Amino acid sequence: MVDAWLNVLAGYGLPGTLAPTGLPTSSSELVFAASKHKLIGVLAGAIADETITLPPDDFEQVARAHEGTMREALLLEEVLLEALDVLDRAGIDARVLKGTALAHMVHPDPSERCFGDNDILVSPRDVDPALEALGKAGAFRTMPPLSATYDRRFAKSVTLRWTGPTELDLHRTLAAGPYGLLINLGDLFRDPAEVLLAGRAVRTLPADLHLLHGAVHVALGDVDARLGNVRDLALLSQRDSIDFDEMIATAEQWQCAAPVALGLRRTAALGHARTQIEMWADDYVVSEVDKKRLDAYAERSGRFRRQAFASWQVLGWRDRMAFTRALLVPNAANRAARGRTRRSQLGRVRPG
Amino acid sequence: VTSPIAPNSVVRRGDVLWRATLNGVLIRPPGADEVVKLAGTGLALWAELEQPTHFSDLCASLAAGHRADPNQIAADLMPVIVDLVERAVMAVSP
Repeated sequence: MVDAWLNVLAGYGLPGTLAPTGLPTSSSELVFAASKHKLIGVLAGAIADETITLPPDDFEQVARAHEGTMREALLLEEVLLEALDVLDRAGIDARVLKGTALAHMVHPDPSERCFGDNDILVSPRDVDPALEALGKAGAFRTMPPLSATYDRRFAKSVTLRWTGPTELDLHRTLAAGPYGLLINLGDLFRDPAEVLLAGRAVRTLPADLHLLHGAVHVALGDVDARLGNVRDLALLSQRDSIDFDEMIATAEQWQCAAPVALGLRRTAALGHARTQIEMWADDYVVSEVDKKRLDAYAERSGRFRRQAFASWQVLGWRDRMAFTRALLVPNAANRAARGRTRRSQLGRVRPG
Repeated sequence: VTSPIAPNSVVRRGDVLWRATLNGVLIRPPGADEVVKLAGTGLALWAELEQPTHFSDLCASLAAGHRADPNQIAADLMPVIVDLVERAVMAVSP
């Protein structure tokens, strides 16, 4: 019952959807569920529009939860601007990804979109200089690197702690595992779009690449995709400015059409009128090669190990050696941070 | 109304981060440690000041929206605007 209602809420305002009505459960349960799915802002929007009317106590509960997430969003945006300043001074070209960018670019009101961290993309050659610049500015990584070259050659992202409790993911690519390694990273820096943050133009991906990223994230990120991320996809699919044929061609060049299609299929749960790109996804036939790659993302248990083996298969020979060495014999600092010895590490990395 | 800002235009600053909430608006001025919260009618005030607005026009508009006396609105609003200017949330121009 709650799940069905959350799907309706996630589709709020999309063409052909029903409006959400009264709460299906207690407001505290609903606030918890909506927050988990990054939908508390959509719920607040539906209340502000008077689509949903709540008794005063329930209203206050939603209002408090929404205000908390918006305070967090403002702090994150301030920290993001600081981080971009640091990268700019170091001469590093960066793109803002995910929550912050989508809040200002895609959603009817940025107050609708909640996010819990910052995501910045830099090119592989800039990963190490960016880490150095951010480190000098006070950021620190939560985990030492697996090897001296792993971050710039193979990592999806490096997680940093920044001012206060905020988290900053410095991305090299858009996904973990084999698909992240297959993406042509040069494409991500073409034709940047801009969003305004505190009056400043901040560079981000163009809408078509946000859609590819969003679809890949829904398909390959969390095992259970959050409905807020699915809503991002549905909103992006509505944009007339995207050349969907070109977008599909890019996905195919990246060998990522399968996860893009699977991600887009998830938007069907929102009940809106299917768009051209969503219908393409519905009809997409996944190849046997992709089925094997997608298995690497399927379950939580053993995910890293399965992704490592699937990644190995898409790498060239020279990269395979460096990748394998980094996983089998990580830097001592990395092993120590995870409480492992050289021997215990070797025992952990096995197929299966 | 006699005040240092009465004859001037007021506008919200463009270099602040902000979000609308169900109870008002949250604003984070550059470099500030704390978020400024404009509750209740603060959201209407914030919306009014997207463009530079003469203080007297602002008071007249808010008074019409709330069916209140413009002089009373001006008296209530003056310290709020002065405070927000000091906190780098709003700016005043001649």
